[in-house]
Amino acid sequence: MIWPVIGVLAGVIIGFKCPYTFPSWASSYVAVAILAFADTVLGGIVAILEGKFDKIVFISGFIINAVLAAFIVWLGEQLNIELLIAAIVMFGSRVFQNFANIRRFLFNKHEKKEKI
Amino acid sequence: MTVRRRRRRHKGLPFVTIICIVLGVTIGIQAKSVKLQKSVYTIDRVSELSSQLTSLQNENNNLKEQLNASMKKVSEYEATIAEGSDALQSIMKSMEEMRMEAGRTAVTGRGITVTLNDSKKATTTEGVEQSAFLVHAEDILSVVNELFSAGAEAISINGQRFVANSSVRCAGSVVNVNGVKIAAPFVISAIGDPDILEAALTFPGGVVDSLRPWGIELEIKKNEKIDIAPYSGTNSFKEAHIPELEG
Repeated sequence: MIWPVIGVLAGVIIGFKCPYTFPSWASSYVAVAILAFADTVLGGIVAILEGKFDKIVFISGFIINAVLAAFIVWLGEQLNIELLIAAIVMFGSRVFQNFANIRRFLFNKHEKKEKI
Repeated sequence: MTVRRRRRRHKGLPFVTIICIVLGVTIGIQAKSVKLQKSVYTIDRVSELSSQLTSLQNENNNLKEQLNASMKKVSEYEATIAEGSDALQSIMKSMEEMRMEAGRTAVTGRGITVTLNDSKKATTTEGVEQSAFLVHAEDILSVVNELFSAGAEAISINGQRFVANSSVRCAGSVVNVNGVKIAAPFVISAIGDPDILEAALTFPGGVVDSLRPWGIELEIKKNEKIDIAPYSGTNSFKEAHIPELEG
């Protein structure tokens, strides 16, 4: 389970070092897409822990969540309402939910070991 | 059982790790972009500055009214002083002429108005530098220059009187004349012989010809009566002074 963490850290360093930056208009899209990515990644980890991982579901979820999130932000901009917040709340709460699932799973496993 | 479970557990790990790297890169670039943007300005700052601007503009208007009232008083005093004295009256007359020369009085006479507007090509032509189709401070200056060299006696740009120490400067999407922001369309009024002034702009290879390829809209109107407002700014001389005559 250490590899995803190393991956994120390595990615952040690569992202900071590379010369490319996002244009300012894309900032809110990217922010929501990051939340969608995080949600998918944590969902994937939960699935791995539960032994229910499916790569098609995982990859499609990764792409479609991000695109959908960006679309929601775009739609909000067209309608002049902050749909951005809806996306942030939804993905944010799902991130917390997934974290809780991971935590529960890890602790349960630990308890089981002790019981044995 | 444990072995099977462990293998199953690790099945998706490479995928998750790759996506984690993507996530990390996105976070890294976004964090850097946001950092850069924050160093430019924030929206709070803009609203704060705009409210400051409004209050300063109000203050400015009040001061202008005060100035006008004071000027009126001065001219009243001058009129009463000058009554009955020929010497004083001639001094008054020369003072009035000096004011006129300095652009401190409203003037009227025949002349032309030149209207410069941004090119309509600007929105339709792609792949070319858009700013080439806009009216620049340099374009206004070259028109003003031609008009003065053709003997224009007074010039104003969108109501801003052009005097000896006037400046025309690009200020982003607008142009600063005498420190006042003006935007297209630019109406340049000039008092002088209308035919000569027009000819000075339209001769082959002249200003009009140099602006035409960019589609900048330029309209010249001769007029029998053009009113030009006085210069309303201040002239302060901090460094310059008149040298004392020797002997």
